[in-house]
Amino acid sequence: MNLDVRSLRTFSRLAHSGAEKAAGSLTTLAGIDTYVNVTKVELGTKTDVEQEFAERDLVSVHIGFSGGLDGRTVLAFSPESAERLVDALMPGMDGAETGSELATSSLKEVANIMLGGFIDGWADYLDTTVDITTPTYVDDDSNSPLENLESDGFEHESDNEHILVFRNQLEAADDAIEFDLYMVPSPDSIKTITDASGQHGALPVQSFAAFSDMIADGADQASADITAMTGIDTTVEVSRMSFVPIEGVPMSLTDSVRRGVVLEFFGTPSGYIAILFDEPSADNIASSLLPGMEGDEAMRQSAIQEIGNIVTSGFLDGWANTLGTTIDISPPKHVHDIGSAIVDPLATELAQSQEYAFLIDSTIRTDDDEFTCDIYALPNEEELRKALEQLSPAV
Amino acid sequence: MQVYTTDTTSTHSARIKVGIADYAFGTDGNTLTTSGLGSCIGVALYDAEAGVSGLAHAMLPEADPDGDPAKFADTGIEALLAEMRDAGADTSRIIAKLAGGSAMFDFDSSDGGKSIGERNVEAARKTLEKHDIDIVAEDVGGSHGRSLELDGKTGDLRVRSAKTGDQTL
Amino acid sequence: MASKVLVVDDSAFMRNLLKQLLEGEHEVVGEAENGVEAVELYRELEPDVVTMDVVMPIRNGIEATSEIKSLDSNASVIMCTSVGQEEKMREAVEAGADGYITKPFQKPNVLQAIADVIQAEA
Repeated sequence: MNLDVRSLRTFSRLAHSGAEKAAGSLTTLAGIDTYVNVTKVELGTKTDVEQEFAERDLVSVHIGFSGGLDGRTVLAFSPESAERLVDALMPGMDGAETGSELATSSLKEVANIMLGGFIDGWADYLDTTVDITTPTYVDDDSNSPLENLESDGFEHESDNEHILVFRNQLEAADDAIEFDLYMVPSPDSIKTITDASGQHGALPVQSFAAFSDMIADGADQASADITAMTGIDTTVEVSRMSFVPIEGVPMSLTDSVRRGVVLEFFGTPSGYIAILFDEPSADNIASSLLPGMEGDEAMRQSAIQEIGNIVTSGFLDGWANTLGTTIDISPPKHVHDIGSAIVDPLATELAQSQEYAFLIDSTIRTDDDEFTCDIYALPNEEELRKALEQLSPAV
Repeated sequence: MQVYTTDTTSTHSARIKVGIADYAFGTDGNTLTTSGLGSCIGVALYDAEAGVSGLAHAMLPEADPDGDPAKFADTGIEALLAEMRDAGADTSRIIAKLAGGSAMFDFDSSDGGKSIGERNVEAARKTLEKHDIDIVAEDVGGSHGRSLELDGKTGDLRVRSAKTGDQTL
Repeated sequence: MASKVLVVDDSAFMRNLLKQLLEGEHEVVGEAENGVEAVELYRELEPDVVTMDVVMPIRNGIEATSEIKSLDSNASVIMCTSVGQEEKMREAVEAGADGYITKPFQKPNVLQAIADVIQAEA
C-alpha cells in the first residue's frame, strides 16, 4: 500500500463530510444537536486498534461494507452515552430499558442510518456501489472493530501490520453523548481510493510504518525516563499517529484544565510538542519528585518543566537517531490552562503553512492511576514528509 | 419512482456549538458557544432588533485564496455577516464584541514583530471597520486561553478563563 | 383517506417509529422483519401500501419487492433505507418500487410518499 499526503487529504475530507452527514442524520432522528468534533486518519497496527478498544468499556454496533470498497464501520459509545442516546430516541418509553430488544434495536438503527450515509459519500466519490450489511450489536469489549475482519478482504500477516483507521469523534446534547465512528477499509480499498485521488510522489506505507514504530519507541523511552525520575512504574497506554485537518488539532483536546509544558523543536523535522497533565496528575507527579515540598509553587513549576524537558528528549531523541538528523529543543515553557487553548496557538503557527497536520499523541500512565501524561507532538508536515522520504528504502 | 430525502441541517437548537475555523448564527435566541481560543480570535455579532446573533472563531488573520473562509478573520467575519444579513440582520444595527488573540508563547514567527494573536485582533478590527460595525466590548490579548458563550436573547458575551476567571462583556 | 400499511424492517425500533408516525393517519395492519415474512404477510393481509427496508437478513428488501410485484403488479411498495446511492435507487426502480425514502425520514415525507403512491394507484 502506498500513501501520500494528497491521498491522506482526500481521505480526511471524505471522512469528514461523511461524519458531518452522519451527525446531521442523528440530529434529525433524535432531535438533539450532534457535532463532529474531529476527523482523524489514524495509522497504527492492528494491535494498537484492538488495544484501544479493549481499554475502554464500550458498546458498539458493527456494519460491514463491500462492493466498490470493502471493510467495516463501527459506531462505539460508552455505556452511559448509549443509555442517554436511547433515552433521547425513545423518551420515557415502556420496554426501552437498557439491554432491552427495543433499546438495542434503536442503537442498531442509529448505526445503520449514520453509517449508511457515511458510506454513501465514499461510494459517490468513487462512482461505485457499496453495499452494507445488517448491523451487529456488541457489548463485549473484546470485539474490536477488527474482530473477524479477515473475511472482509483483509489478509493480515501479523498483528503488527499497519492499517488505516478513520476515526471521527462526535458529540451530541452538549457533550452528554460522545461517540466514535470508525471506518476500517481493506488494504485493497485504500489502494482504490488512493488511485482515485491521483497518486503523487507516493510513499510506501513502510515509511509511515517505520515512523510509527519510531514513535512507539520514543514513547517507551519517555515512559522509562518518567519511571526513573519518579520511582513509579509507568507504561505507554497508547501511541498513535494521525492525519488531521489543522483546525481539528485543538479539538482533539477538551476544555478541561491541564498543566504541563510546551516546547518548540528544531531540526528535521521541526515542530511543537506539548506535555500535559490533568491537575491531579500534575500535583501527584510533582509530589513524587519533591516529597515534602508540595507547597512551593515555584518549585512545583520547575519540577514539571524538568519532566517536560526529559520526556521531550526521550520522545524525540529516537526520531533524530532513526532519521540520522539532529533535533534541538527549546527551553520548556510552563503552561496551566484549558487544554484546547494550549494546543491552539501551536496549531495556528503551523496553520500558516499547512492545512493538515500529523499529530502524534501518546499517553503514559501509572498502573494505579496516580498520574497520566499526555504527549502531543506536531511536526511540520513538509519537513516530516522529507524525513519520511529519507526513511523509505532505496528503490 | 419518487424519491424523498430529508434536509438534515438545523439552525434552531438552543445551543449551537462553533468549532475552530468555524462560524454559526442563530435566529431563535440561541446560545452560541466556542472554546479553545488561544491565539485564535472570537468575534460575536448581534443585531438586537432582528434577533440575529452570530459567532465566528478564526485561526489566522488574512485569507489565503484557496483556504476555507472560516479559517481567517477577514473572510470568516464577512461570510458570517452575509449569512446574518440573509437571516434578517442589518449591518447598520449589528454590534461586535471581541475575545481571544492571546500570545501564549513566544514563537519564532513573531520574531520581535506581532504575534498571530495580535494580528488576528487587528484583522478583525479592520474587517469590522470596513463594514462600519462598532466594537462595543472586548477582552483580547494576554497569555491565557478563553471560552465564549454568546446569549442570543441579550447579546451578552460570557468569557471564561481558567486563569483570570469569568466575565461578561 | 386511511390506508392499510404493512411495515417491513428488521429493526424493532424502526417499526415502532413508523407505527407512531402513522398513528391517526393510516392503519398499520402488519409488521415483518425480513423479506420472506414480508411476502408471506403481503399475501395474507393484502395491504394497500408496503414500507420496505432494504438491508435485512434472510431476504433483502429489493428481492422482496420484486416478488411482491410479481404476485401483484398493483402493489404499492415504498423503499425506506439509509442508503442513498444512485445505483441502489436504480435497483429499486428495476424491482418495481413506487417510492424511495431515505432515512432518517421526517413525518411529512412518509405521509407524502404514501399519499403519492395511493393517488398513482387511483
